[in-house]
Amino acid sequence: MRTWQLYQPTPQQPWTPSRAAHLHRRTVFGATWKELQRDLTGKPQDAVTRVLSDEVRADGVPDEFTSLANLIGNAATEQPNVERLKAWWIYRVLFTPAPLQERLTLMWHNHFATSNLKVNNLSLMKLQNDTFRKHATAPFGDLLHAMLRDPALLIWLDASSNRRGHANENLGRELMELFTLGIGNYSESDVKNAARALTGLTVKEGQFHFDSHRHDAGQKTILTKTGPFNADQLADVLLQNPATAKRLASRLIGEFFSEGVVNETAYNELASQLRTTNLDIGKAVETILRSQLFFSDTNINSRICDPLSFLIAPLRALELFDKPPSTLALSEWLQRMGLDLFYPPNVAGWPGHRTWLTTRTVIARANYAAAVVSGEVYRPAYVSDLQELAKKHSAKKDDTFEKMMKTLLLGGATDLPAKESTNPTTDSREASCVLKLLTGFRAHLH
Amino acid sequence: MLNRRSFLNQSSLLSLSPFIPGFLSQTAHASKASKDDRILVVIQLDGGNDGLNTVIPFADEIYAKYRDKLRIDKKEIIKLNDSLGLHPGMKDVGKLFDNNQLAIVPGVGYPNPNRSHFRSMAIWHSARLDPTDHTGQGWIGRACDQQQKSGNATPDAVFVGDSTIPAAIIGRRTNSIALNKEEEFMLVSNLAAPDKPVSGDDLQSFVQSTVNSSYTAAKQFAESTKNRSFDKGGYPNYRLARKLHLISRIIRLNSGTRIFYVSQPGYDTHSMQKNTHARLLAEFSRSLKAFLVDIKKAGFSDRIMVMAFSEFGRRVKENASVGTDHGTSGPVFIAGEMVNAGVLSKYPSLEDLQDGDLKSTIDFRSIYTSLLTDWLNIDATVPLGGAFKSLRVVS
Repeated sequence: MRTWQLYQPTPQQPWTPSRAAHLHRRTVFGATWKELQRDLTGKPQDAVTRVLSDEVRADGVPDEFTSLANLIGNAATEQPNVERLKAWWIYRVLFTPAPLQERLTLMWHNHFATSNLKVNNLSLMKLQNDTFRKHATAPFGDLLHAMLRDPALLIWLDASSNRRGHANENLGRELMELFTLGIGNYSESDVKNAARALTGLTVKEGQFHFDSHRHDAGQKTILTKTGPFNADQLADVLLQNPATAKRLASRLIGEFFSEGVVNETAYNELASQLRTTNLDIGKAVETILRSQLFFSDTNINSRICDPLSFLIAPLRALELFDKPPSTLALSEWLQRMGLDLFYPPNVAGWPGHRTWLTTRTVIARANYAAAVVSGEVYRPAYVSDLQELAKKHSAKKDDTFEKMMKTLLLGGATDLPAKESTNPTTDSREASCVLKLLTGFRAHLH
Repeated sequence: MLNRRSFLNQSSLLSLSPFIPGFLSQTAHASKASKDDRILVVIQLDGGNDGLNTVIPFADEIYAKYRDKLRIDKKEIIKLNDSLGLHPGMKDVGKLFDNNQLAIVPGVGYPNPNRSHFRSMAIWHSARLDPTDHTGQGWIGRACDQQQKSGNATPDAVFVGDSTIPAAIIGRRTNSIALNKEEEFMLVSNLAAPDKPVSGDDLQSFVQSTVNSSYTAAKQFAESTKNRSFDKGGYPNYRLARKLHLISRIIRLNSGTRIFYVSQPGYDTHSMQKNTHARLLAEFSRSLKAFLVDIKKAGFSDRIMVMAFSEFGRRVKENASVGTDHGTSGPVFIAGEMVNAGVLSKYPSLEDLQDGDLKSTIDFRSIYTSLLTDWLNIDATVPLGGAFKSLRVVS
């Protein structure tokens, strides 16, 4: 796989603060200054290893993270309070020792896009979310089989209405169109037969239940294979189809690359790797993150920063975690930026990329930046001392602090020409600097 | 330290570059409607509306046969003529029909119908049947591209809603924006837009121009809300009504924007359809009527045309979960004082089905053609990728 060769620093592509920041911003919602310096003093592949092995965060991970996260999550489902459930996930993203897992969990939420609008059950939404997390880097079959037993997904796609002699095609169609093969790789007859294979899947008292009386055990022909397929056998037929590997390759490329960086050959090679590794997602992610392609100039600062990264990266850069910000407030901001967790816009999820930026969301991002520096991400508002932060990192001089923030917040983009973007004024030079950087157009690229 | 109030007070410092759009400007130019002032409002009924229970062929006995549990009682149907009627939830739309403000086009579709929400919606948005032509640009966006005047940063199209901008109004250069409620348009910081307008298709130009137009739109909106003399009454308490009310407010500001787009979600009624569908149609019907009444009060009636469509109709035979699965053709509504009122096409036969679905009797691009050429005065050939026979929807 020559197109996926490992990144090694060269005079043309040296290991720079910009490249190190790229790794953090694209995969794990940004870095602190200490984390960035640690990576810069070592080898790039070691930095990638830390991302992959959940050792990337040196700051702000509470010792009792797991138990605190469980406490918050369970309280949210018991109340039940959907805003608290969104806040639970944001808490995880901000404080977890395994941020790559959270990014992939979001990717799967987008892949199996299920909305609480219809499911209307927070325990089931959380259960699904935990399943995404559990299988985030597993062979894709583990996740797909788990999803065919996932109550939230089954409710979302009307599985219970689909029974022998009375097909409801919703789940069968989306299983093929969105979760595995992709459109154009199956016929209407395949959809009808897939729906028959899926009969009997139901949800009973909030739990998956297989009702054999409702199951159609007859012969079905799906993708030229014939047999008395049930749901798991159907899933295996779909998993073995080369179109599924291609769709997953495309999903992963869309997650980690800018448009146009990955050519047809590289795309096919990644799909081929997936096929020969039992659709191992973790291995595919590793291939991507270690590659020269991932660290190539065309892949740096050339992608629209997604709302969750825009939310979290400034908090990591400014180290706003020893006193935790209000995750409920953060959740409100995230919604205003266009990402309402647990409520994807439709079964295809958020289209992302350029669609993240609209008038409404750009204004929300600018207002969020103001809220970060004015302490309104805390409730009650609390202004963090950015001069202290500057002092801690020996960046007391104006231009040193600005350089540090440019690296962390903009990936070390070149100097901003005067008046090109914004010129807010605040009482603190450090706050002004951060606000200026976050409200300029480069903040939206990562 | 800075706080929200001091930010708000400083918002007037936003630089007055020559790039400021006319968007939401208050300079009302008293106008007699010319073709360039005409406005199209599109309402997208999301999820695939059950056309058979919206415009109902009640005189056809086969209807009752296919719709055992979901059948609408003949007595309750709002009769349009001796064979067709409206769902009882659509009284207000019935009044529009009686007042010659409504065109109903049954059986709208396209060849080889696709039952995927996304593929079918992409076809309606792009006006292209071939999926390789679904590039994220749409028929209205492409039409606006042809009208581009240099230095004009007034948004060509405004999408009111909290989801992403639909492909229908995206073009190569078309300036489309999304908004949901006015509070979302208040910038707390004094941010200046870039001095120089940028051009080009690359990502950096896109980001720069989006940030620029967003900050300037916020500034203009802040000024416009100082004028609170707008009529607030008359709208029912529905989400669709609130969106249409916001559109009416922007139209009253003489913004120059000619395209407005909203969607009403929820039409994907695979199970227990009856009450859901009745509620959706009542929301649609009452909101549409309130909007047209409001627009008339504002004196803009001769400038507004509304089109409502859904990505497909639903299967003729109801399913076992008292719902309906994805189908093919369905009705389109066009409303306004300037509409060519009446039932404008043949209702599909219930005897001659294709795979259990209604065959379409008219191509959706026939309606687009009329809206573009007769209403917006834009040549339809390029936006629609070919010439189509026009179904005259403008009187």
